[in-house]
Amino acid sequence: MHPVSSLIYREKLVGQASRKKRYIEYLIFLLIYIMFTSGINQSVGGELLAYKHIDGWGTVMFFFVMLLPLFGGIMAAYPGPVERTDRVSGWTRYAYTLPVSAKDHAMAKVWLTLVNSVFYIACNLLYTVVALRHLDVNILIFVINFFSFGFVICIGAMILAKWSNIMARRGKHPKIVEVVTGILAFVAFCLHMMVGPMPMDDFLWRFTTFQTLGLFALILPAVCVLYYWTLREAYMVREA
Amino acid sequence: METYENAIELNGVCKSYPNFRLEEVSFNVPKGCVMGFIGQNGAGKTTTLRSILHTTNIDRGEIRIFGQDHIRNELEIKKRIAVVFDEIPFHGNLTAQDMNIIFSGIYPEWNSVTYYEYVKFFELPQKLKISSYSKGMKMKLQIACALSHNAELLILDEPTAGLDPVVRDEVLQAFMRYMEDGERSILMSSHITSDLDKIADMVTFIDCGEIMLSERVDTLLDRHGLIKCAPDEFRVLDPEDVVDVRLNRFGAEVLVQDRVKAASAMPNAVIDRVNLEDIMVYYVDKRRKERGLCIQ
Repeated sequence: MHPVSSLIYREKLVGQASRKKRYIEYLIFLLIYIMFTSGINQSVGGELLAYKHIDGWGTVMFFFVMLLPLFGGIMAAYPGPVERTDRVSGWTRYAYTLPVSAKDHAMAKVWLTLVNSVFYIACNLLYTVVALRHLDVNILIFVINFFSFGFVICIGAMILAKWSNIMARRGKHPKIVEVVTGILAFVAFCLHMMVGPMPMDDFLWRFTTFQTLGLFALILPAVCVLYYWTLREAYMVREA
Repeated sequence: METYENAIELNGVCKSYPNFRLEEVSFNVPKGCVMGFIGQNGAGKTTTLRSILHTTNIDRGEIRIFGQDHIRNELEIKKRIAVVFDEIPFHGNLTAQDMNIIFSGIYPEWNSVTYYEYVKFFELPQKLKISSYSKGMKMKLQIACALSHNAELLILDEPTAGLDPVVRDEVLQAFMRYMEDGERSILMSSHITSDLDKIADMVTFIDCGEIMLSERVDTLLDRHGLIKCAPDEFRVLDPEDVVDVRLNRFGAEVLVQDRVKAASAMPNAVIDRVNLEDIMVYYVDKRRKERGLCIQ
């Protein structure tokens, strides 16, 4: 057995209870969402989504299709409370005494994230197959793009949080991360303004295009590599 | 096993925190030796152990384990050491069986047979979750894990703290069994000096981040002596030889560093033997007086 397999096995067991709870919460959320959105006015949904020919349950399903992958992507990337319980139980400190490299620690976390994604991807695919029977439009690309969007947002937030922690442990002020984030957000905003104002339906429309799919095909591996690198750095930094 | 003289060598290790610092900490743990690491709470024991384990960075100095730099050869070193903390660092959801699977992938020399022998020796339930273990059982499980990968060096941070005498005895027996081949070493921090009296070959005493003593237990106990005399009688002693004096209404109790020298200065005095606890308490008192912290 490789150290990475051991770490994955441990974390799988430690996170089992919370993961099951999240899966159930996710499914309950979906059920509640169906009931909640069943009353949405079809014209509002139609205008917002620029799919005016979709009506009734089709509109509901479309909203569902939109939110399902978004939350799925976020939850797939979210590691749950394992990190906190590891800190409380003392494992985080103990792990430094084990003959496991920072690379292996980081690799185990990335693998777990990818494995965790399988459940959410399966949920989304299943729903997409069901939805495709009721909708005239092909939503597969939309689902993949929105899932990727949620995944990237969550991983991005965790990378920033990790760097804030790394800076603090290196004795540098965590504000540095906030400043860098602010600058990046500002640059993104400027680019957005240069391209022109983007109404909501236009924004959603872009998630149905192959160009966006291609963009995520590039962004996702890059984000995973960045996540791995950040985790590796985090393991290399010791207590102050 | 490769040849090295000292399992651990610390040379001039310094580490500063806002309210505390280790100052030029230097001592060696010779190969095949059980080193007791004593000192009061906040003296710097845990900081020293964390520095050795590189869970924290040091500001200055050098730490060598098996003759190798503790950072440059970190992974290689950590395959050959085992660590036991005062609190179990394993999640309550796991079982003793799970720990076997986890560690078999982490330690190249993990031995499941040895592990289950220790689990049996300590009478630990294999399938029960750790959260349902008692404090003693948790510590025994941690020790079983530490002793099952043929580690050459054990680093123990208060392993017997909070355990009842029976469990403490079982734990000490396990350590003695581990030391049988004479090639292995232990560095054990503890408040319970009676445990160290039973097991330690050497002792290092730290106070306020400074090493006060580091030598063989038998030499230390032979060298020191406790004189009970009238309040003024001890003044004939060489002040350099006196560690500390405790005055009470019956007279004075004086700890001396060199009982032979003290005996020649006070030929009629009865000089009692001391234990590690006496030595620790008197040295701490001396330091407190020097720092003006004593209650008059």
